[in-house]
Amino acid sequence: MAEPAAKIVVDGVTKIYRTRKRRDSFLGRFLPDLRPKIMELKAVDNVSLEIASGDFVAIIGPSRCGKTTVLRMMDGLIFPDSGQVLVNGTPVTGPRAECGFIFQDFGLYPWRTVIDNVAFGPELHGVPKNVRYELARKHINLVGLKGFESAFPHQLSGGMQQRVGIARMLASEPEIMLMDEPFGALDALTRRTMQFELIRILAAEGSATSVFVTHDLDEAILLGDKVVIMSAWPGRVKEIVPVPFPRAERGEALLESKLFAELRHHLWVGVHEEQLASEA
Amino acid sequence: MIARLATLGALIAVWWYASLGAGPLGVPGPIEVIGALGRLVASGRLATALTVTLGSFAAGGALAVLVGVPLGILMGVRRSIGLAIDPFMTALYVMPFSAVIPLFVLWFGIDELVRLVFTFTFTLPQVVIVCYQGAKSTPTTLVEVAKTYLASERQIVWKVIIPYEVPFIFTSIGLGVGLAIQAMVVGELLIQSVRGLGYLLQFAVASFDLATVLGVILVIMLLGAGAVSVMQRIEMSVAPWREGMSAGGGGSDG
Repeated sequence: MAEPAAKIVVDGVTKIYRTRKRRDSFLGRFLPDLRPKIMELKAVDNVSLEIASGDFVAIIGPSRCGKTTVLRMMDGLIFPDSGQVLVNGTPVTGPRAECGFIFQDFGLYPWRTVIDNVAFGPELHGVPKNVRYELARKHINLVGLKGFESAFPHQLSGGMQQRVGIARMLASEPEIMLMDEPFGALDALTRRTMQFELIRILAAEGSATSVFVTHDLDEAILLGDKVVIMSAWPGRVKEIVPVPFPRAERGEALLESKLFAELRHHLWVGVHEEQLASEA
Repeated sequence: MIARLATLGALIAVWWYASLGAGPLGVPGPIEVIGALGRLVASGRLATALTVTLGSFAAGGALAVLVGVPLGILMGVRRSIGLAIDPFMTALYVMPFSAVIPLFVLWFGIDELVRLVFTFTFTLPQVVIVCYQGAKSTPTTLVEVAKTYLASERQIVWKVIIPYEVPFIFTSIGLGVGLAIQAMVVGELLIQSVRGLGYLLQFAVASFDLATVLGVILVIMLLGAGAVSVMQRIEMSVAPWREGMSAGGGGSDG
């Protein structure tokens, strides 16, 4: 196989979390089991997914449907109990250089300045200071944080902190960008701004393959070429919905269009069914 | 600062009021205590006692930090080592020191060595436990970020866990200083030394010189407060980011 069929192949993966004790009920706190009980929780069940090079795929689904689990398996942070994940045609055995990851809670190092956070990846790989700083500055400018190079994360707002997170990922020039609810910790207004910013930044960066997990239906449509709806626990792929809008058209006006509203309604019905099922 | 000075003024006023009309075994007033301190300083006895006492206790405290910080971090990084050592540190932590002092005196004499050993064993468990908890509490996201950028295990320790530990190291040193000073007083009194602050205190008690007793205690308190505030200043200059740090988040699952 000269050219792998897809950039990322998720091939029938199942993931079971094992926990020691279950103390989620009120009474359970006061009546602990005498023997430690192993609880098994199947987070994802036989999920298969193919993501083509240059695709931008959004994964949505009710809470705890295992969407983050799938994303973390793509990055090699966790491993499936059965099935496998292939990136560029080879099985994922751990984090790899092709993939960048954005964390919901930013994951910035509080003791590092903005520029040292952004230059973290190259620093680990022994890139000399002036080279990595130049690389970092380029991406700091791109995400709109020029002038904040020597600020510490706690001096920045949440939106600015995630800009640093995006710049840090871009600075290691990944082919695949994995984003775990990147704007989930931000307020609604900041989130909307950041969605448009991400569209702008990605347009400037060229065509990386991206997968992101979100709760926000607008975000899924604004950013995604395809939206994967996952079923309630245990997570399975319920439906893959193509997004018909060209990337150049994704702006404020699109949000007001009838097609957008219809698509959002379709996604809402799909996710809502699952949400109800998971609460039943 | 003004509030602090007001507190100090109020404390001195209460003290002074309590000392009014007191007999020779009542509460000595501020003026008497300052007079006693003046005599101690003038005769050079305070300086001698301080050098003797502080030297060996500072050495014991410093040794506890030098051993305790790396040990605590190692326990946090290698969970099996942590689990193996943790209960013994807790046991050392609750050991009744006044009861083991006679043994220490038998084994290590009544001079510098026993002070050093005593301060070391008194301070070490605190330092180890704080650093261990710190290393254990490193947010998983911060470690996962490093893994995502292909950090080696060594890089995770040096670039994530140890920097994250810095505030805990300072907290543990601050605790260590406080404990070393407590250890100093308890130790000096129980060791029955013939030099140092403890001897000064015992001698003053034996001669019913309460002003001197209070004066020496004041000196010890000032030393402790001063040392802790110096530590805080160093911490703020070494880890300025700590000022605005909120609790780090753990991993999340969607």
